[in-house]
Order: sequence, then C-alpha cells, then structure tokens
Amino acid sequence: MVGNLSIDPSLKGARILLVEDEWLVSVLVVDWLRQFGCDVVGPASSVAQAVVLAAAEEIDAALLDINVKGEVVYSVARTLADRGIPFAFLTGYAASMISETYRERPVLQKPVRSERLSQILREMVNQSVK
Amino acid sequence: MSPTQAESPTALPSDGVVPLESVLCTEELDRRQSRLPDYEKENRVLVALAQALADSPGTILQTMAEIMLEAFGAGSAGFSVLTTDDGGKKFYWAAISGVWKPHIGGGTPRDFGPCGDVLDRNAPLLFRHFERRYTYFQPVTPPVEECLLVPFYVEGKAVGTIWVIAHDDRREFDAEDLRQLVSLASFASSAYQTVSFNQKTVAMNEALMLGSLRQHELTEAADLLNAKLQTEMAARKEGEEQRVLLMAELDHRLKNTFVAVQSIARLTSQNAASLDQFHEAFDDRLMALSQTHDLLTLGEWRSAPLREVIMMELSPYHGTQGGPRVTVTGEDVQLDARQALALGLSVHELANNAAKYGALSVPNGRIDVAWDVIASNDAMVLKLRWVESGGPVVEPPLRRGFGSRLIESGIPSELGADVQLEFHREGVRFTLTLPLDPARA
Repeated sequence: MVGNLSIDPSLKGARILLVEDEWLVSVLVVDWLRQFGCDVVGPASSVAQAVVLAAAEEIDAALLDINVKGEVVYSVARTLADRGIPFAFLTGYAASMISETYRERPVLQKPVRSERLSQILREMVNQSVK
Repeated sequence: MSPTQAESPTALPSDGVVPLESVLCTEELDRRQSRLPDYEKENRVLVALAQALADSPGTILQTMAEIMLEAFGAGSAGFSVLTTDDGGKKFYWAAISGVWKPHIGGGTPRDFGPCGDVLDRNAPLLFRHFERRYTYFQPVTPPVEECLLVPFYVEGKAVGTIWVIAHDDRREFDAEDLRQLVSLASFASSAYQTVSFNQKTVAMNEALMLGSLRQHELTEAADLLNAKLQTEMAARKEGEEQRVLLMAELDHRLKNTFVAVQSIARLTSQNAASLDQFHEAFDDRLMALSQTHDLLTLGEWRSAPLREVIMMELSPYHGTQGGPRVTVTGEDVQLDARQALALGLSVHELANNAAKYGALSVPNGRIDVAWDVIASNDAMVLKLRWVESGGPVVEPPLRRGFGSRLIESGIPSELGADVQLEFHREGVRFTLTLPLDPARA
C-alpha cells in the first residue's frame, strides 16, 4: 500500500519543519516526509513550540498549518521569513483566507497528494539552496 | 310708536317684499323724549360685565344678554354673531335673554334680515315690526314691537350685533338707550373675542391633545416597527454572517476530516496483513469516526458527553446477560470536538482490541471504566481508568499498531494529556489524565 513513493534525491537529508496540531495529519505528513528522505523538525503541535523551533533549528523548508489549536501560525511564518527559510501552508482553509502578507507563498490544500507535497518541497529546498 | 303707524298701509313693491324703510324708524330715536343718563347704574352694569368676563368667560355672552335685559328693561335681549364656518352667510343667535330665550341657537340670513341691514349700513338701526318685511319672523312669538340693534366690531370689521327688543308698546327705545347700547357694543366685541378665543383655545387644545395622542400612537407604532426592523435586520445580518462563517468552518472541518481519513487509511494499511484485514479495520475506524461526528453534531459541534463517547463502543456489551460485564461510571463531563474525536477513536481501538484479544473476547471478562473530575491547581482535570479483567492472559504486543500509536502519541500531542497504556497479564489498563476547560467539567 505504501507503494510508489521513493526517496527523492533532492530531498534527501532536507530538514523540514512541520507545524500541525492534528495528530492524524501530522502522522501522515511525517510518514511521507521520512519516505522522501527528509529529516523532520518537530512536528510542532503548538505555535509556541513552533516559534522556538523556527528560530533555533537548522531548517531547509517548512510546512505550516494555519490554525494551530486556535492560534494563527503567522508568527512562525514571520520568524521563518526573517531567516530566509522558505515555507508553504498546508491548510483546510481556502487560499483566500490567508493573510495578504503571505499570499505569494505556496499553499497546499488539504487533503493533499504526496506527489504534490514532494514537488512543493523540492521547489522550496532548491530555492533555499540558491 | 302708535298702532296706527304700525298698521299704516305701505305700498308693496312688485316682488311683494315690504321695503326696508317701512320697517325702520331709527330717526325717531332723536325725536323721542329721552331718559336722563344714569351713569352710576351704567357703571354698575359695566363692572358686573367685567366681573362676569373675568369669572366665567365661557358664558359671558349669555350673562351679557341677561344684564342687557335688565339694564334696558327690555322684553328680550340678545347677541347675534356672523357664522364663520360658512364664510358669514348667517347670523347666529349666540345668546338671548328674556321671552325669546328659547330661540337661542336660531338666526337670520346675512343678506335678508335686521342684523344684515345693520352691517350693511354699518350703523345702529331701530326696527318696528320687522316681521312685516322679514316674514320668517312671523311664527316667532311673541312678536316684536321694536328692536334696537347695534353692530360690534373685531379689528374694524362688523361681526355681529347686540340687540334689545320691546314686545309691546309700553317701552319705546330712545337716544339714551342707543347711547348705552353703543357703549356696550365695544364690550360685546371684547366678550365675543374672548369667547371665540376661548373656543379656539379649547378646539386647539383638543386638536393638540388629539394630535399628541396620535403623535404618541404614531411614535409608539414607529418605535415598534423600528425595533422590529432592527431585530429583523440584525438577525438577517447575523444569519448571513453565521452562514458564511459556518460554511467556511464546515469546509475547513471537512478538509481536515478528509486528511484524517487519508491518514487512517495509510496507518491502517501499514499494519494490515491482507487487503481484507485492511478493509475490516479501516471500515471499523471510519465508523467510529462517523459516530463521534454524530455525537458532536447533536452538540452543535461544541461538545459531546464523555459517557456517550465511551458507550458508543461499549454499549453492545453493556448490560447483556451471559457475556462480558461492562461498567461505565463517572459524572457528566462534556468534551470538546477535538477531545471527543481523539478519545472516540482511542476507545474504539481499546474496545476492538478487547473484543479480539482481551476481556470482551470471553464470557467471563469484564471492563470497568470510571472517571473523576478533580481540581488541580487552577484547572479541572479528568482522570479516567479503563481496567480489563477476567480475560485471557495478556501478552504485550510485538509491534505498535495504529491503536497504540494513537493512544501513546496522538492523545498526548493533540490533547496535552498524560496517558498510560499497560499490558498487564490480568488485563489491559489505560489511564488518562486530561486537562479540561473548567467550563466543561
């Protein structure tokens, strides 16, 4: 069932911060990330926890849920942006509900396909390398 | 005045109407022997009138008629006023004293009558037997021998007459009567103005009262309508806002549910030995998720009762004869959506495991679920224990499956709870320490 996913050379060893409060979702995404060969930072299930990781950890790219236990994730986004770390939103909300400030950032609508996730991650990690 | 004069034949004009001049004898006043003026009496009359005007302006015209009757020694005395509502077509007998008193309220046409003649000539007139010209007086009894009329004015305009009548020839009016009646006419003007002002004031007051009543009613009605409209609009606006919010929230929730299902499918597949086993486990978990949704929908997605979340999975075994025994004890606790969904799925995993390998797999098995809510620091904390007994000897699992991962990783991370999952030989034990929102406890 796990099937057709395999380690992606460009993602191997990439450190990906995951901010996601729903355990079932984070388990799924963590599973995928490991399969891509990524190292997972977190997952953080609260904004407070995520801000600490975003500020201190070595991170290549980040995946951010928008509503994290009732808190908006933008403070984490700002921290990442300040550090020049690329990030994408992974959310159940419509793209139109995302703050103007971050409209240019990639958005992965839930539910997401693993192929789409790896594609976005590749783009971010490549950008991060440049 | 003598009967012969009164009965002297007068030439009738072609239309058969007795000419005005033949019923007038005003110039006789100067020729008649005049009384001497009684100024003292006249003064008393004026004082009485002034007093009456001050005391009861509403009845001043009648009072004045009475006073005139007495002062002039007349048979009748009265007060004629031009009607105002029809533009002055009639004279209205506003007040009469003496023998004609019963005729109060009657009147004469403006264009054909003694009062009209007074206004036309703008001068006092003395009539004798005016019923000869104005035949409509003929039925009015007793008939008039002489009638002295004097106009009175308001703002320079003649608006009425005051008059005294002699019904027989014992009383002839003279120049002194004329002088006194003229002097009373200015008082009549004041009296008339007072009365009409009074009437206007009363009418105006009534109109004002009515108006203010109407206004009050209208204001009340308008207020009510306004309040209704505002409520309606607020409700609509709120309804619309809520609808939009609800749709957005529903969309968000649905998307998250899709990912949850996606995740359950993936995790289930990792532990499934066969496609059949996958389907069975996946369907069960989907059913558990769906049932928790049902409970939350009942609570409008704000809350679900803990007891129901547990009974959802255990009710098939609860209270049945000849099978495993299940007890569920604890006070009413409301869980929020996140807690209900996570615990619902966890209880499903525990119950499913018990049914396959644990206490629910044998007739003598038993599960006791009990909880308390205790105050810990500032927060309320739920302490729940799931204790299995009487089942087969428990062996710790060789690998962590979906249930173990959910309970040991998912619950702590998602609910900030402490959990212990112990595989004792005598039965599985699960303990949960879950911080509650104080309002929910």
